[in-house]
Amino acid sequence: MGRFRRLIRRSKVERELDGELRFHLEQLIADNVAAGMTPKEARRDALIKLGGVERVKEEVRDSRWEMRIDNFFRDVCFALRRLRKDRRFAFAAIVVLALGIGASTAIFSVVNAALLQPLPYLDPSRLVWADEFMPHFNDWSVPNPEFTNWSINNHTFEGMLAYGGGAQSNLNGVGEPERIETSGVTANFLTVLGIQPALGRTFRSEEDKPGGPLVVLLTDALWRHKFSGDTGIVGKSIKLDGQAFTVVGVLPSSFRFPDKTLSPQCLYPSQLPAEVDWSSARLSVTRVIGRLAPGVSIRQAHVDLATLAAQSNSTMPAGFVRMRQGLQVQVIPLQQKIVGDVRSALLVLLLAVVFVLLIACVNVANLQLARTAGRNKELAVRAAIGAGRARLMQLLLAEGMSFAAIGGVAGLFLALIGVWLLRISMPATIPQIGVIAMDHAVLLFTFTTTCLTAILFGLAPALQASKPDVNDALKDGLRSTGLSLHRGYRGALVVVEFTLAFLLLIGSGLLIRSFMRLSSVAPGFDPRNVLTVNTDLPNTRYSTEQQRKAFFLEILDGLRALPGVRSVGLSTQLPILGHWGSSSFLVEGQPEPPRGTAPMVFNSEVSPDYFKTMYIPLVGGRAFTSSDVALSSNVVIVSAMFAKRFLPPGAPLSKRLRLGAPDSPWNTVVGVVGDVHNEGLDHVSDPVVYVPYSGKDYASQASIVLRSDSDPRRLISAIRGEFAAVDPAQPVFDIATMQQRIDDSIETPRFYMTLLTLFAAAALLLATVGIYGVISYFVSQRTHEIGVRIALGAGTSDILRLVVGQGLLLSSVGLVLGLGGSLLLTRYLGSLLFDVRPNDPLTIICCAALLVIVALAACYVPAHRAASVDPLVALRFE
Amino acid sequence: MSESQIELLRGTLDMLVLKVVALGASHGYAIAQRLRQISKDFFQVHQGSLYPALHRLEDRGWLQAEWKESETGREAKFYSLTKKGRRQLEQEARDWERLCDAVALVLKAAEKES
Repeated sequence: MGRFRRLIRRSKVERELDGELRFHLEQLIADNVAAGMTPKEARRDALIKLGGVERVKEEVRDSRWEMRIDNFFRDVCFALRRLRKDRRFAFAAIVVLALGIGASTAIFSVVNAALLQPLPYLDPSRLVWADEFMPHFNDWSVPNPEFTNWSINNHTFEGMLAYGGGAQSNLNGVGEPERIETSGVTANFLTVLGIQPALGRTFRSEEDKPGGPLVVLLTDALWRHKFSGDTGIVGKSIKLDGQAFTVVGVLPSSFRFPDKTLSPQCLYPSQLPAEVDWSSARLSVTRVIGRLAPGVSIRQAHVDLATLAAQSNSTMPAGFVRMRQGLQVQVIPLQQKIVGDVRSALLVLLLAVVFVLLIACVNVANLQLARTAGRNKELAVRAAIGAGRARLMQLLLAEGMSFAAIGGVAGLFLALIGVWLLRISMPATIPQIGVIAMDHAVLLFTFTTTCLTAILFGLAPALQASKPDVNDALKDGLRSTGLSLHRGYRGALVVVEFTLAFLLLIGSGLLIRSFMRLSSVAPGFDPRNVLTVNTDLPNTRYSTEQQRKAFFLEILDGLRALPGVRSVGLSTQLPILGHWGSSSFLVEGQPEPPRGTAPMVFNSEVSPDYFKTMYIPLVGGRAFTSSDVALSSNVVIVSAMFAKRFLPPGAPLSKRLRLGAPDSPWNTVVGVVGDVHNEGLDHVSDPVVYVPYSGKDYASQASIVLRSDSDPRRLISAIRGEFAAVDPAQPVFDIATMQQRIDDSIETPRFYMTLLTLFAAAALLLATVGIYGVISYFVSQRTHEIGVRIALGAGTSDILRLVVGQGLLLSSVGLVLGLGGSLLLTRYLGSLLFDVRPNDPLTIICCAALLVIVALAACYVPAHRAASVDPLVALRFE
Repeated sequence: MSESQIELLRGTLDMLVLKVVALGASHGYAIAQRLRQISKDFFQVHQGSLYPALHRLEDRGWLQAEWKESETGREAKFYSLTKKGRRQLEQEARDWERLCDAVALVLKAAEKES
């Protein structure tokens, strides 16, 4: 504290020092007078004895802490004055640094929000994700009796909650009917997570029983948006799918659902049976999160749950036991479940942006070296009048610090823009546990980065310039000393730049190639000019198959009559977006498998014109007819993959199929259609069986597809009108072109590719500038030598070769090092690549070629300048 | 041996200053005078080394300074020893004695041999 006060009152220290020295002088004079001198003589003698007052002061300053700081400020002021003089350099250095710091700060803010923030729940380190894998279904999920079993009988958890997959409901009665996402959760959901509702209460256990009262908790967003933040909402009732639910509470605005794939706007009790009952007709799938009891390890919890899962085999029907063969239980930290799969991608991005920052630092270091080379004389003068090595280094580091500080502040502004851009462009697959914002962690990162960059690019020039050869530099010889040393340093810096730039180019090249492969995958249909509309008919108003069929047929007829519409179809399953319906099947003539071991196949229910509308080719047989749909006739169409795998070759239409239980009817295969990528472009096509649209309750959710002559988006308002004409209470939600849905499905790889490509482009640009600077410097320092060579008969091509050769040498060393680095690093890209190997030779060769071309171009300009040197001028230059 | 040729061992001046101040709080001029008197004119400390030393010692917390009226009635900066400074002085004095003994031993041995 005392020190700090002294620093603030620097001027007081100075004043005191003056006083102290004046007192000393007066004492000397007084003594001299006492010794018999005249006052004039006494004063003169005293001044001589005292020596240089300023020198004394300077030394005192050096011995005091606050004075050292003062010196530092003086250096910074000097650096800033120099920067004002050298505007071009200052501008270039600061822009480069600001871009580097800004970009890395922005990316760090994403990493911070996704990976570093703790989950927004009480004591999140004790929250785990518990899951089961059934090889037979190739699926991870926990059936509700298993959850009940775990929840009642475990010895390792403080509490276990379950929630269902996402559901959707129509919210009626407040303004426009709206489609909202909902989720059924167990009553202890908020308790296990450790969250208090902002208004009202959480669910009671009596509300979480089959047949219990209908109650909901609203999210803050829904409450504000739909109910204008009405604080009296608790106890009121709202209508979901036509049923009245009582609002019991509102969640806090900070609440985030513990599953990044879901964002329900309201929660209701899942009302699962209280007892373990495997024989129940309909099992539901739950997702399970547990809070470990204090002191329990994940391993112990895993053993506990796996034992319980094995025990439950004795309480279930034999068919189930066979289906559960090879069952695996997984217990992992919830944090890992939520952010695990984006971790490597985000770390790759962070590493990439740090590379860009490093290249930026190297570039500024290079500029600095060029400047310090020009300043040798100034530094030598400083050394000659007594500045020590430490003092010179301090001066140069102060200069570094002042750039870095300005660059850092400018970088912060760029980062604000970057954060904003990232926030609007980031795919939803990257979880945002915290908010992406410039919080204290991000600011600390920026500050640290800024300091490190200052040291990084300030150090090389400082180390080098701190040992100038005073004599040589002062001699004013034009052949300044240490030239080769300079070139050594600067050459090494260029090599570093090329190494890093090459690595970034390879990384982005791989992602670009992977993305090109991915987006050129033929989806199995033609998405152009196709519009898709998702609808879900609530069971309350559409309770029978006939009602649902009638609704859709009327809508289809109405849409077909719209001008510009070529054809319309209906399917319970849109391609690309992932399957949700499957059943077991048996091909006629095959032996009946034991219950629970029959193979499974995906199915979707379609209208007659679906294939025609989507341009899914008919490979054999016929499409469905309207009478197939109307009469619910037992016909099916299979995908080519299904025919290939399960039907006799050459005669796919000869066999009948049974879907579901042994008492289900046999279906005639009437057609074979082309394969469609249902699970996404990056998944191989699974076998599919198509059945005519049935209108059964699980088919109340369906998608209408519509092909038009031109841009189908112009039809959106007409489509809304058509829906309103058929049923005004039915909201039309989620209209998008098929192309849009495909684009959305590859949004995440596109995001990574775009960012990495931006970074690689920046790296390439910086490396180009770097090599250009070094080669230009090389040429300017060797003008004399080049002149001699030309005078002795060297031709233009010889000189070009000399100069370009230098550039090529530097860049090739960089390429070799980069190649080595890529062998180490690209394997971390593996999980981000589709159909491209991490060491894809074509990508590496292309990137290397690009770098070499850029290096040649950057060297050509100075080389040309060198070749056109007039030997007379060059020799006189000496 | 002329006094101007004597380069005080690094840190020796600090020890001497601490010792002089330990005899009683005094200002810079008096410290220089007393050092000269005690050493019988051997040490002539110039302010070029004295004041940096005083400020260095104050910076390290071994001396504390205070503006007081001097014997001539003028305000002067008086330095006095802190507790930390006293411990430092004792330590340095001990080290110095050991150094002197050791040097003396070596020199005597050398005399005998030659």
